[in-house]
Amino acid sequence: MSPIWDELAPQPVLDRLAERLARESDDTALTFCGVAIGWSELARRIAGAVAWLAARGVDEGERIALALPNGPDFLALFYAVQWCGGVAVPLPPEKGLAGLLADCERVGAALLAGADALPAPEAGIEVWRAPFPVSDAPLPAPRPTETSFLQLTSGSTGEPKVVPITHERLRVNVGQMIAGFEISRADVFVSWLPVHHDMGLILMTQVPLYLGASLHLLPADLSGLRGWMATVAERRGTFTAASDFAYRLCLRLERDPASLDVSSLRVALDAAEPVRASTVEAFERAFGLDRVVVPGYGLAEATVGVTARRPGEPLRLDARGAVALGRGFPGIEIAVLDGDDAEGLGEIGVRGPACAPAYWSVEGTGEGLCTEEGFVRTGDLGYLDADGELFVVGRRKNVILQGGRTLAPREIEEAVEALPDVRRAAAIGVDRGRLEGEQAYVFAEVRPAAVRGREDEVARAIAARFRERLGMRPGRVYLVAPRTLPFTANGKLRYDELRRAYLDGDLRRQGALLFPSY
Amino acid sequence: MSAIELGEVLRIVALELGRREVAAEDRLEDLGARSMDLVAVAAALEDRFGVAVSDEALGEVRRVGDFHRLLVDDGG
Repeated sequence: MSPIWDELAPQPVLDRLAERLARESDDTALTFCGVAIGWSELARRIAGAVAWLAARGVDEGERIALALPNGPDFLALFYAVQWCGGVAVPLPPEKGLAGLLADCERVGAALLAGADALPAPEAGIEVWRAPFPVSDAPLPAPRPTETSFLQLTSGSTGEPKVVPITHERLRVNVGQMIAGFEISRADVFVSWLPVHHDMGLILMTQVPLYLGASLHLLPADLSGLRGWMATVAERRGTFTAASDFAYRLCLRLERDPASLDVSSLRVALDAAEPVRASTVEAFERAFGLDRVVVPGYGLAEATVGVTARRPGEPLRLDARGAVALGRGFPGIEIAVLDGDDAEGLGEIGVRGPACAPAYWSVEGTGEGLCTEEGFVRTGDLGYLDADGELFVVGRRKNVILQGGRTLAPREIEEAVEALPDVRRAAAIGVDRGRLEGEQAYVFAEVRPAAVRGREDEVARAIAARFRERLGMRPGRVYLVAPRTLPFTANGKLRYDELRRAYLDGDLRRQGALLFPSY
Repeated sequence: MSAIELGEVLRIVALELGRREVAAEDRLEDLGARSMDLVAVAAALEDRFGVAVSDEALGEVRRVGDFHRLLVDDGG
């Protein structure tokens, strides 16, 4: 008997899509902001982009970067690139041009597709802007290469990394998630997660398109968040997903949750950040739901989905208040790699047919990311209980989890240290137990005399640099006095010590925080 | 609560939104503010003035000046 994921997802995603585009031309593929997009329209958009790419020429395995917001343009180009044997590289469109160009350089992309507002770079890269062509010509058969797309991630060490998502691993993980969440064609997906990132891209667009399930896509911004639960109510949505932060924020922004009937929801996945029991309970209470918010766990190195609690299972906490994240999806093994401390905690390892054996690099010899036994090192600290359920209680890596995305401190520090006023910088994740959850706090050492009178300008420049490179905002930027940042004897930043000194108020008491005053 | 001056609130909102200056009547969405910006501004104001921004209030904020109003209302 073949494994369950092969039964549920027998064909590569691109082949299945090609069949649907040809066969279901009169039906709706998805809606975006409430506007229906039929399979025939999606086919015309993909055909137009395929024709444009074919005329330009695409080398086998050529990386093509896509900095596009949620919407049909992204989906058309994402599939068209693969159709032509290219490898798609989704990037956050909120990044500035310099940040996008740095990413293009990292993956060796010579073509960057973006919205019509994307500025023209000075040289070195071809830019392809909206509006994108459409074509009534029949789509040729897809001729994909081995890799579907590259996912940029923070890695498990805090250094930025690139994970190659092959068509095969993508198919396997799609099948694993269909099995784990018990998804069927009858499900109605509602998503405002960004399509450039794994959970929004794979679980929330590729899975429904694979099954031909309904998909209602919203912009990945404040308007999407504000319209999220209203869309679930209006469309009788059954499946949605977001980070814990997004559920907290939704609760805070939704004026009258009780007025929205979201009782159609079967699964609301809470993943990509530490899951707070208080969020799950408050969200379900406010919206009149019971056992619908499902905690889960995943990472790009394992394609995306690794565990989730079964839909309908009640929330479970351990003695320290950590939330049970469920068992591995079919075919996924989870192990505690070095659980020799008194509490049985250790680094979580993940093994299975959707796990990448190595990171990707332009040189072609990516750094390995597995143990000798083939377990992906996640950098997360946790344990498995007697029932085999995963609990994550912390992390070994110095990454920052902000708003559902994982940020690499080194990438932030290098970007900030390039500014003339900054001597050294450190970025840490700080969670003060408030609504915003963990945020990237940047501590930039400056010479007080050199910045006096223009502190706000320097802090603004640092924040602007952060936005440009990361496509999101920093939680807080502090200008700090020279020799504030703690280093080990061999010159490594002591992130935990910096976090402690900040949270305990030592930095403020010592007068090390020069700006701002809060 | 007169201690919370509009000028200081505008200065903090401007810094957190990465702007040189903002005006009370500016709409947040016109300033390109995203959900995380809204929350970061609230956190900065809470830290600066020691006044908690209530859960319901944040959902009502549309313009920069609304931040000042809700701090004064909550504080007073």
